[in-house]
Amino acid sequence: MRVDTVQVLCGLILLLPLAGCVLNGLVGPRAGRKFVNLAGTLSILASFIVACVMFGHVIAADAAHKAITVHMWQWLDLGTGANLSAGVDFTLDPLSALMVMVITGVGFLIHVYSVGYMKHDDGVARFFAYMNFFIFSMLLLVLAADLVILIVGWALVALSSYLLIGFWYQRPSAVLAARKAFITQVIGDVALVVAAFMIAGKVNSLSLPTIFGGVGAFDKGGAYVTGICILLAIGAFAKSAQFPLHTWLPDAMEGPTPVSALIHAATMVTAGVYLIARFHPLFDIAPTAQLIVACVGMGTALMAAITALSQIDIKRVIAYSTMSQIGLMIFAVGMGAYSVGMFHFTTHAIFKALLFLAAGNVIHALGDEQDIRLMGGLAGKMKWTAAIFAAGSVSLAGFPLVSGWFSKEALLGFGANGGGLLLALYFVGVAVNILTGLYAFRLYFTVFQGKPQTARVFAAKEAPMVMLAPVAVLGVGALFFGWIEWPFPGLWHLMSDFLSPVFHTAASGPLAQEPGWTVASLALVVGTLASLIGIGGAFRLWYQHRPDAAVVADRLPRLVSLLSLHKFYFDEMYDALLVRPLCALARVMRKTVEPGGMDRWVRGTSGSVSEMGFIARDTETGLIRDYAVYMVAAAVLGVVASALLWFVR
Amino acid sequence: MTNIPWLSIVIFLPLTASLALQLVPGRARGLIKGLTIAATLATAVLVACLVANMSGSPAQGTPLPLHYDENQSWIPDPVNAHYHLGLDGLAAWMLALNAGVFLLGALVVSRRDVDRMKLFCGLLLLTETATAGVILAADMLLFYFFWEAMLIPLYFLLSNFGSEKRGRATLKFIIFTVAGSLLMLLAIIYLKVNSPANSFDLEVLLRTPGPAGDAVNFYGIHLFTPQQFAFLAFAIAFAIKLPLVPFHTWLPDLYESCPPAALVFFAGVVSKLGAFGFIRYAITLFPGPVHDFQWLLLTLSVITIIYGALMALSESDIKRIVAYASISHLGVIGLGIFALNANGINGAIIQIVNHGIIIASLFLVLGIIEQRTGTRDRHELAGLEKQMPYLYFFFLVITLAALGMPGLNSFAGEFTIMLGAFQTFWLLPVLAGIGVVLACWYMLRLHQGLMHEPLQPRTDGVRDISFVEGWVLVPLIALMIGIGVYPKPVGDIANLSTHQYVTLSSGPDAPAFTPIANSGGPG
Repeated sequence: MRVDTVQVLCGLILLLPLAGCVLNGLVGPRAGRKFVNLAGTLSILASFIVACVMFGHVIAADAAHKAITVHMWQWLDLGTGANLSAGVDFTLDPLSALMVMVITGVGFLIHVYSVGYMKHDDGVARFFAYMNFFIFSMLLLVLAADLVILIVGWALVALSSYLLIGFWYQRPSAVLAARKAFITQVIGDVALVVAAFMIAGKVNSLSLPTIFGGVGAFDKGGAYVTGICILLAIGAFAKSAQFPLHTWLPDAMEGPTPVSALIHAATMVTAGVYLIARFHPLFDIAPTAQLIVACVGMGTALMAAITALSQIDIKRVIAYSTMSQIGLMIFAVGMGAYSVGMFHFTTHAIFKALLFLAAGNVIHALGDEQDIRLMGGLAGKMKWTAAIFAAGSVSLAGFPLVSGWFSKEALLGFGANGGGLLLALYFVGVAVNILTGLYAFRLYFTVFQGKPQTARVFAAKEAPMVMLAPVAVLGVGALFFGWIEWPFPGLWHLMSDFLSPVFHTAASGPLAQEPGWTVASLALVVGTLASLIGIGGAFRLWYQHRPDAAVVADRLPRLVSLLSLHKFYFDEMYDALLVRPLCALARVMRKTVEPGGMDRWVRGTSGSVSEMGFIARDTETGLIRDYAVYMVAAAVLGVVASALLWFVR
Repeated sequence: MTNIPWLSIVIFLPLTASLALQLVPGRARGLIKGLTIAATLATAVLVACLVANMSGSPAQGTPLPLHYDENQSWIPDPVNAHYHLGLDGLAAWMLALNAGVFLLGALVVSRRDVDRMKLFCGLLLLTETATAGVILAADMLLFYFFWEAMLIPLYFLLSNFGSEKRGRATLKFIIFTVAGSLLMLLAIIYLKVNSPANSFDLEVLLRTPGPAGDAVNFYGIHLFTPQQFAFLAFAIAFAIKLPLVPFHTWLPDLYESCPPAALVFFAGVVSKLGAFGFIRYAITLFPGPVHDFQWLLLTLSVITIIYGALMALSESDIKRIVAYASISHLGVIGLGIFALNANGINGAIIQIVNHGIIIASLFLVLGIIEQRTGTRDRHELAGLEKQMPYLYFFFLVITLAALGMPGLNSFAGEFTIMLGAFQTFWLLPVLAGIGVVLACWYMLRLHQGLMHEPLQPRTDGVRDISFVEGWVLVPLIALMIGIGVYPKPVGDIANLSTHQYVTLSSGPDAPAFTPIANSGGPG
């Protein structure tokens, strides 16, 4: 790859969505729907084409030139050494190329779908402007080769997420959800910024290649590098909706469904996985941080899977499933299985975008109904959507030889091979497999099979072509994309081979190695059986017997079902422990400290001073003039006093 | 070209215009507006040219790299005060900000029907002269002269044009400022008397600092040294202006009652003079005491950040919310200054510019909203996005800039400040981070509360901003985005003098006037 080629490609791929955003924002509202649709989708199509060219360049490049960093312009230059200096630099390597492909590819399909989904909305120009802006920010995030630029992209995706969650701004719930998402992610931003400072404190640079080249400056396994990694992980947890910063994601479903598909399933929420994979040279030398990340990931996966079981909103079920699947990815990158984590990211982007979009078709057909208890029997009305949704569900649940199965079993295999705590986490992962099969098919059977629960179902129509075609493309991917990588040593490993130049140091990763044939097949059999048990259980419960969700909940231990129903009480907890005390503190301080403490001593002082100044005067009438005289006098007095002092001396 | 006293022209052009205004009959409102805008515009253009051309090397061998140096005897020998002006990296941005916000103020006032327009415009121009003098003075007495002179037109502006509550607020502000500056005057006299060179000139004082003196013995208790007392006097004067908690209480009251056009330059530049004074005078003249009190000042800055944020969170008057937000953000600037390293001070200078732009635009937008709806209560305002889509977008960018959104201007400043604070003590940016998270909370709540959700009676039928109002905001928005994407020019000019400030503040032991290459990261 040549530097100037990469410069042009990076410039183009970023400017195209930005141009779409500016066009839609400036002239969109007046130019009409057709223009908006074209500007919105074609800009992303164009950047997808550029992404394909990039991808081709990366594949064609010889081993020594797989990663190229280009400098666009200097952002800030305050000197050398400890003084801040940062450039707008971009890196094109296999990892960023993969991310770029997924973002623009899946992004383009979702943009096309949005044309149909937003057909009757007045704010379509604003919608496409925000969506294009999101693609721009996400590309900025994955291409950044400088921590400052990465942080800019990191925050801009949160901004576009905020704007799109609150897209229907006349709904108070959407407004609140948008703010919650933004504030939670800013907590992560602060952690990321402090991590950047710590890194800069050791290697005196914020440029990623320099940082990764200088990891020797850190003590392996030392507290300093562990601290950095934990801070980076906090940033990742906030973005990827992991415990304990996960509560914003379900609320984010207030946004339009294409937004949920693009931002809150396929791309932005997986940025945390990307961040950890990108910073693997640091994580590789901080095994404690790696273990923490792996535990949090698997813990979130379990917690979200349990919660997904008793949700009744179709989008929230998928949201919790997203949280759970990202937990698995975080588990993978936490234990150093970066390629597999990125593999699961890719398959997940495909099948989860599919599930959201297909759910969008259902919601659209039912006139914005999202309660799954009021659905049922839709397979007869919406054959294509039902079939595609089923494809997404088998992929999510990990049915053998479907995309999701390859990536999920591969990452669980790494865990099984890890031994110790990782092995324990592997067994949690097996439980997650059972739960995934259960909730995925609970959703499918409740929505598409059985008897229609409301009259609206009878009036439902299949979605138009513009909303069906993109989902069908994703459906093919959800079934077959996973075939590029097999969870056995020595077989097809297209993804790992492609990414290996980035993660080559991970081969010596301390935590997880690729399993041999024995462990791999054993883990595979156990994992697959678990998935099948889950799917089978769902079939018996929700297809054959069709009990209500409440009946199933009764069969679980009371505590688990309560936790599941109330999302583990996190919202209530944060409200009681953080939000309310802070508001109360602010109120109390305004009522007591500000007027009582701060203002009183000021008033006391000013009162006595003014008494001295206007001791014999009516302060109301002559105030202005007197004050002027007083001040001029003070200034003159100062001059005179200093002069006098000098004469005396 | 070099003999033209450019800086004097910058200072006295508004004054001349103000005097010329007195010859114009009060009814010729168009002429008054035109003259005011022309004078502020001319000053702004001149300042822009000066700042753009200042990369040439300044006078050698001086502690501060002053460009366009002007030095004449002002008050002769016994007093020995000089009319000494000079422009350095810090003053350059202060001056640019000054010219910009006064131009903005002139534009705003020309759009409003203010009674006694002539008086207002005349006072506005007088204030500009005084603040420009404060910024450019390189002589302590001259500085003090302009510092006090600034209060006179401000006082008349507030007392004549403020809202109902102006009386108490103005009193509080004036008393506080005068109390602070009288202390400062004593300290200035001490500096001169104590210095072997016996001069008020800043450069001379920096080159030949006086002895620190022994600690004052107060009945057996060793209090501060005279130098420490002098530093505290300066620090209190500037802490009142900045303001640091607990010297801040004049600010919300004053902003609340300040006339909208005056608020633009009041919030935009007058409150930055405290930060300016700290960098230019307090930390350079007192390298020892500033380190003695560094932790006190850092603590006060952190308290200011969090306290201001909490107050903003609990207010319901939109102007007071922004006033407290401003206090919180000025605390961040304080954090950068008292970090006493290159990143902190560079960030503080960058942030002075950014905060000036942001706070002026915020008050501009709030003024428009108040004018249209007739209320400042957060709870009575909602749903304006539908009525005012253009204002919504402008307000969105300004809000994001105010909460430190990466990609917009204040991120460049705050990131640099936080890095500097981190290099001083790692916990500082974490504590300041609380302020950042709270800032998101109250700023977004303000923005969303005004813009989103269904319309309220007060906001129904409100019309969007006019074409002219929009074009006043566009350059400000462009600056926010432009500096956010490419802050290097701002940083470069700030960096022209930062190393000198850092060297001076680290005291006589430091190597003389060489850039600090490795001020040392955290271990």
